[in-house]
Amino acid sequence: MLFIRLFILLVPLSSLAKLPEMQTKQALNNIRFLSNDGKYTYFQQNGKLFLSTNYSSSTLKEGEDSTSYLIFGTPTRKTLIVEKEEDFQRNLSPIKTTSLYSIKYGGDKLEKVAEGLFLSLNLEDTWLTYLDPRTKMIKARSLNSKQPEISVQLKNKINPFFRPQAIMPTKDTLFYTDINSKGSMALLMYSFFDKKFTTVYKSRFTGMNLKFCIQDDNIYLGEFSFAEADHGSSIFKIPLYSNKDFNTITQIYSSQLNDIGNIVCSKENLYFVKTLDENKSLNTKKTEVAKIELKENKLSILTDLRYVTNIINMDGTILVPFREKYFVAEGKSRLNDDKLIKDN
Amino acid sequence: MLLRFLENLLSKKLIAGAIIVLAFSQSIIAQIQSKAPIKKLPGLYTNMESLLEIEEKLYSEKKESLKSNYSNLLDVKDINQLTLDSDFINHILFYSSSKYASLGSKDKCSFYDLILANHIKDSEGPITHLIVNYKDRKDSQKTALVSRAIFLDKVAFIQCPESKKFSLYFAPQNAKKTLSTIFLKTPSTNDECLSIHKEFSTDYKTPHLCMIYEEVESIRPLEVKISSTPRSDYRRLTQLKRELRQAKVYKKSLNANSYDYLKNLCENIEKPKLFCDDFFNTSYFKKVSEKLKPSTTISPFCKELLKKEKLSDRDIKNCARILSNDNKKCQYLNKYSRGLTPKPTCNNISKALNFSRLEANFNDCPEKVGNLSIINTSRIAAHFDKEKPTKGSDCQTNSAYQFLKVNMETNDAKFWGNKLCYRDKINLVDVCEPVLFGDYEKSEQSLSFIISKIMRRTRGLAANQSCKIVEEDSYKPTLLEYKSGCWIILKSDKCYATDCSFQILKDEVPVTHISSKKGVIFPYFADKYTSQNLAQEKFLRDFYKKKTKKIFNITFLQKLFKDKPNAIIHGVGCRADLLPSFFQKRTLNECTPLPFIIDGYFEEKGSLSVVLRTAYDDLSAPRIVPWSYIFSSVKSYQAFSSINLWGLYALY
Repeated sequence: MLFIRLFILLVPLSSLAKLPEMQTKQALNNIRFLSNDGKYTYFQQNGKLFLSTNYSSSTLKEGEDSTSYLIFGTPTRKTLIVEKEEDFQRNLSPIKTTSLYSIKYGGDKLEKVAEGLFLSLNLEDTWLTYLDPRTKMIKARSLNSKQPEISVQLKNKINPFFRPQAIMPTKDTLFYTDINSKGSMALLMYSFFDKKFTTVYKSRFTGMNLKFCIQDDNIYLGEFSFAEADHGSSIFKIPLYSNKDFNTITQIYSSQLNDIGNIVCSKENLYFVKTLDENKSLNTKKTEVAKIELKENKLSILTDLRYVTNIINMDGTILVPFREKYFVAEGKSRLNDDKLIKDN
Repeated sequence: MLLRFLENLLSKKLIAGAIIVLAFSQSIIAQIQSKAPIKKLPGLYTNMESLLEIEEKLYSEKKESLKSNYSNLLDVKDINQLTLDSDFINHILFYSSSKYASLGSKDKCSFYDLILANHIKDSEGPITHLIVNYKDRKDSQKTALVSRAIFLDKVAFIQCPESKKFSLYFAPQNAKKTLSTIFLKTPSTNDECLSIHKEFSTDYKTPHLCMIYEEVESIRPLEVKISSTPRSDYRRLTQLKRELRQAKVYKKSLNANSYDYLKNLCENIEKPKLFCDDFFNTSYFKKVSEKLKPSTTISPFCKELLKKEKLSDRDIKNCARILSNDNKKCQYLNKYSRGLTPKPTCNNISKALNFSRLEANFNDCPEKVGNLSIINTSRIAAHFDKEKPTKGSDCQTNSAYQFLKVNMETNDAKFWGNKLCYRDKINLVDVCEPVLFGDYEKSEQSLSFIISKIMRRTRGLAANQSCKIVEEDSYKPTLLEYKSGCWIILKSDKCYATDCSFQILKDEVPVTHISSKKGVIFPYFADKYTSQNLAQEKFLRDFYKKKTKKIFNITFLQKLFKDKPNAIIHGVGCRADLLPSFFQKRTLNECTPLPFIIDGYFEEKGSLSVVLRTAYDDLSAPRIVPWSYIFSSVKSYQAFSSINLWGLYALY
């Protein structure tokens, strides 16, 4: 494997500006999806899912009070996936499935597509991957054609609560994470055509967590230590094509500290939760959102919240959930503009 | 080196002496000051041997001169004016263990307790005589030798009647009964530990408890002495054997745990930090190996590590040694406990267990239960229950049984949707009975018990026959054993406590008239105003008669753990906030509720982390998690509550 360490510029913390808090027209707790121009708001109330746009709202789905919805989109903005979970607070079963629906971006007609747990929406919103929590199978289904569903059985037997990542960069390939019997996590590629597995990257130690995203024909793979593995953190860039057996791997970031990771990609940047300081005796960490500008390989710290744990890319807006609030790391923060929006 | 030792010894002895003297009597102080006993000593820089020799000589001369002056104290004018002779005090200070000095500092009664518990010694062992000064009825000053028994009877028991009672409670014949009433509490926080130590150091019982420890400690030296004493020395031999017999009676009154507890207490009665270090800085696995902690905690690790279903004491010791020495060994041992991996390192598990208070003396398996709320409820219930759920046919049935036990009592198991049903053809009604998908000893909800009952009612199964559970892998239809009788064939890999597939065969014919219903759906905390009396949290409180209190911040948490020794905290939070390295939020308002228990905490320079057991985690492998994660997860979950629930409560 070829490792090339690139230099990264760390912006001093003192230069941090306070991130704006997300402002919305609806109560934030109810919102499930906001288009980045503020035009479409999907929200839920009393078990029902609504779409609000241009001062009108319509009901998309009705359910019991205890029903909860999640909505996932991609930069393609053609389709959204709605995950409907019944008895959200009353049936805390790790083997429970949810109903998955597809919906046109900005639309209000739901179509049930599968039962399982959402993993990804791929190939310009035409393919869905999801997990069957009982059988531990990753399934891939076309949203546009009646092609038979394709599935891959996870090998993981060691962590019953493992949630894999899965992304389909082509119709023939599925990239996903799995864990072997010793606890080593790996990024694998499965070719549906050849029915062949290829190991893209296998973690160097047990107790490491792999998170990845695919952007512009590159895989960005983060290797982060679980709380106590203490092997530090790395992020690699792996070309998707013309890379035989994925031998070309470039390390774009490394740290002695154990980052939380949770990487999120956008067109030009990669975001992750970076550890700036840790107390191993108490297992406490000072963690902030870090951004790597992919072209410049420049790293900067965006937040000064001390205990950041997650980052979300919602329709191109990079959000930092922090307790009951959301801070905007990239994109518009004021989504409560009352001006009437003209239809394009 | 010797000089330093001597200096230390002297200063210790003098301090100890001063404390005892203070406790004993004002007049004794005056006496010591006026007599300036230190002058009689040859100085700090004399070697130890000559110091002892001189002191011994002084005392012996005095004792010898008083031999003709025995007193039965009948001529004492005022018992409260009686004082101990200063040479005698110097002597006992040299020969009594300084570690118990502080126990005699409270008042004169506490000093008498030290005499009663044989901690006050002269050169020959526990004192048999004392030298006292008093005025007789003719008002003349007397110095006399008094037997220990007379001193106790005429002075100590008159001034301190309670001391007599205590000495009787701890007499050899009563010790076992007395000890059964004394709770030797294991602390779960350092503060609690220091407070326990403080209580012991002022407790009148402590000298007697330490007497028992010293008696047990004396067994080996006595045995050596007996073996080296010639038979011709009959009197000495008899005396030694009598002492050995008594020590062995005391030994029988203590179990291994109590002995170790007392050893730690009595060796460190003046050293609270060392006393507490023993609880928190010793490997938990080592404690298991020494039987100071139950082996249940590590048995799932050990079964997998040693590839054995049944573990001997030797296996446990071997396993505990491996876990103590190989820090990463614990992270992926998960065959039996089926929890989230990687688990913490062995060192961190040990550290967390040393600071935890949850009584988790049973094994469960989060994956196989199939419901996170049941796991949390059953763990809490087991903590408060006298009987731990250990008698299930499998680990998931342990949790299900404990949950069902609370729910049967509090609400007729209204939320327990796992039922077996059949058609009652006489009354033309469908009858359903709540069932466990496994067997639990003597439980009427056991799967085989319920099926046997239904089969007797509907298919005339004989009263002496019953249906038996067999796992699909073990069921061999060709074997004669399975050709007749009633069998319940479980598909174990698809069998959860909340959902299980099985087939019933009676004489090889499938039974089809018994159907099963599944579904256990219930609120853990109230999710709306109308469900406040239907939440598991309420059932737990009612069933175990516990109080509850909201925990908003670390001050609340610290105070609770300090004030309530048996209290635990339970809550529900969003998993991606609670365990962010394991679970990632992907979209707006994503939250997967995860119940958890907090049963300890650590504090360091203003930061606080807790001992956390989420419902995903192996019960035996608690995590050390920063308070900020707990707060964030509960805060995030609150956003989903229609009643703005703050899901973090103490139960005590």
